[in-house]
Amino acid sequence: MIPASQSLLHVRQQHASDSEGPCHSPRLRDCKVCGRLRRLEKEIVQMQLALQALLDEKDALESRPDHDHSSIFDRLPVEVMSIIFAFYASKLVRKTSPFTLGAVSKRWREIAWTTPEIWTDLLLYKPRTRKMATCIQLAKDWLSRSGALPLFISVHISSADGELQLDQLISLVDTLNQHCHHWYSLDLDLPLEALCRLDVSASMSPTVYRLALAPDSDGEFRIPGLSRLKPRVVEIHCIQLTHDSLDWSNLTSCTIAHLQVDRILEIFRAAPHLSQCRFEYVKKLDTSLGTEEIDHVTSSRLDSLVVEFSCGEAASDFLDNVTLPALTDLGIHGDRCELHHEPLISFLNRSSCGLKTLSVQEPDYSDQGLVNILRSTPSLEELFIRDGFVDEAEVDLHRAFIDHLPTEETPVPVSTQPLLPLLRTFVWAGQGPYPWSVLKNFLVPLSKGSRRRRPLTSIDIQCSRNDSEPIPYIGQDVITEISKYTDEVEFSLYIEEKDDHFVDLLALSLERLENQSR
Amino acid sequence: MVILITSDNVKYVVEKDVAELSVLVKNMLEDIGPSDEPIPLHNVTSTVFNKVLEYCIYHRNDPPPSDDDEGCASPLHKYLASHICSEWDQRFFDVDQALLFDIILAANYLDIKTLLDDACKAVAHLIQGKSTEEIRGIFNIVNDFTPEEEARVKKENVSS
Repeated sequence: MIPASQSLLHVRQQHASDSEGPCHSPRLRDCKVCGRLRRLEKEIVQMQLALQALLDEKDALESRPDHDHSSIFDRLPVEVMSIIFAFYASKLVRKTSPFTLGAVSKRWREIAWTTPEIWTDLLLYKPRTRKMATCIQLAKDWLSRSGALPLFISVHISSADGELQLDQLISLVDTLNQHCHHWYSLDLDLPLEALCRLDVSASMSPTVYRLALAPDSDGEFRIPGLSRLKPRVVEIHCIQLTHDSLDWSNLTSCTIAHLQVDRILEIFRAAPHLSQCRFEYVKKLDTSLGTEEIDHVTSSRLDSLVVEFSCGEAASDFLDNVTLPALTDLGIHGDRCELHHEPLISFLNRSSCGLKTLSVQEPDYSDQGLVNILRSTPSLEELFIRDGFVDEAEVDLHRAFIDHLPTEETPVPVSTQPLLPLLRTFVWAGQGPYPWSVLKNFLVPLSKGSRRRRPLTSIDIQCSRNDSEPIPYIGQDVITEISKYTDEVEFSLYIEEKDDHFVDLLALSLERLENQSR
Repeated sequence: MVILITSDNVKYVVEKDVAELSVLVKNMLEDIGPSDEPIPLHNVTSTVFNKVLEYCIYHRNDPPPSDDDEGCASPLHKYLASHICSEWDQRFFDVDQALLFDIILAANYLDIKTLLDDACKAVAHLIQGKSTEEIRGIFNIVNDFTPEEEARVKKENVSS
């Protein structure tokens, strides 16, 4: 076959021979037609030369030995491609979908579909634009490609998202059940009817590390099919649990809401390894139970507990019936109900725990009640008072910090023991102005004539004011006193202005003092 | 010391602990026993081996990779594990595509897991955040789906 460039040359030569003859005009010069023909011939030659150059370049490129249409990825073996895909899919952004890999080419799709590592994290929300059935089918296919690797499943589809087809969700849960032998984290926010389909009874060895369940309505969580599941971490909301809802024997951490005290006691009994708990909105004991039917519980490993009570009675029911000797971190909240300090003090004394951190919402206890609580926790290193409200009564708390020292008003100390002698961190956040002068109370010596003070490293105050009130500047005497300790103690003293905007009141007060001294 | 010869006949004298980061070399040394005989590296050119050697010397004292929790790492752990954190490594892998892929092939052949993983992370990083069309463009990949397959692929991607 003649190359394109050679054939063009042939045509050009033929053209040239056809039109180069003499003109037979009697006027010894080209006639109009011959003149035009010669100009055309010239133009054709020029065009042919340009075309020839393009054809030569084309021939040269085509004959290059390194000319290759294959992708650089074609050099990599399948197992290496799988490693790259696994690293690709581990990125925590939505843009790294395995489906993107599967859409590149047939080879990429085949490798992606047979790389289980990229199919272990399933996150499913109610689709906005696609049909639910399509998404659920894709989720099922997704799980089928995960092999036996540990699964991180997170499905958030509730009836609040709009009309749902329950049968589709139930079929999804049925598929999840088929993979219960390799659940690692199961986080489901689904209608209760779908959650109730969870069932691991068909599996020889169901497993899960973290179980988080949130139905979109309240109800009894009685799923016999889960009773063999041994999660280490449980986060469950709006469902009543019983001691046989799960196998609690491996449980180390739980966050559960809306439980009655007797149910919590059951969990304590069934979970000997429990070390961290958060119970939200705890309800009082089942009134059908007589007090003699409640067995006191000691949970010997629990070191961190945050509990929010729905009423004062629930607090008493709980604190009267548990002993937590390992407790070091306690958060106790009353959800706007009044709590009595006696059950808490009794609980702390009975537990003999070396409590290091205490978080309270101040209105839950009277000011003097809080002082009594703190007197029973001399080991405390961190105190958090949230949602505080400064009023006359609160003076008791702050005065208690100097009660061990004689003053002009009280030459005989009110207390022989300083309050919170090991305190390192004090955090107060609440409404109203803060009585800044009490900051000095934290910094006083632990005994008369001694230089030893509380080992404070940070004092963090966040108060607020109404627009109509003047800025409660920190006085010069307080600033002078705390400035002696700024190398050891970090003071964060802020006031909340409108729109959640916090102002550094210490800086503002210093600036004001400087302006006044000029 | 160990003598290694690349496919283009360049001879390297390498400290044993560095050479043994390659499982292939380590096994060969065990097989031949004490000997001064050079070990041929058939599939690695000197250009690529220079880079491999640079990596092995820099990482010679690293602790061996642990597979203990690999199977059940949380997404966050997987994310952290998938990132090349060291600045040195980032500079090391900042090379043209052809050399990066040659390093991967060499690491695979020499069986140097950490180098293979790190180089694969570097390639994964090139793909992350890119659309299908962008990936095809960057790596000269031909879309070989039939129209029917293409329609199915698009449906998956819209739903995902």
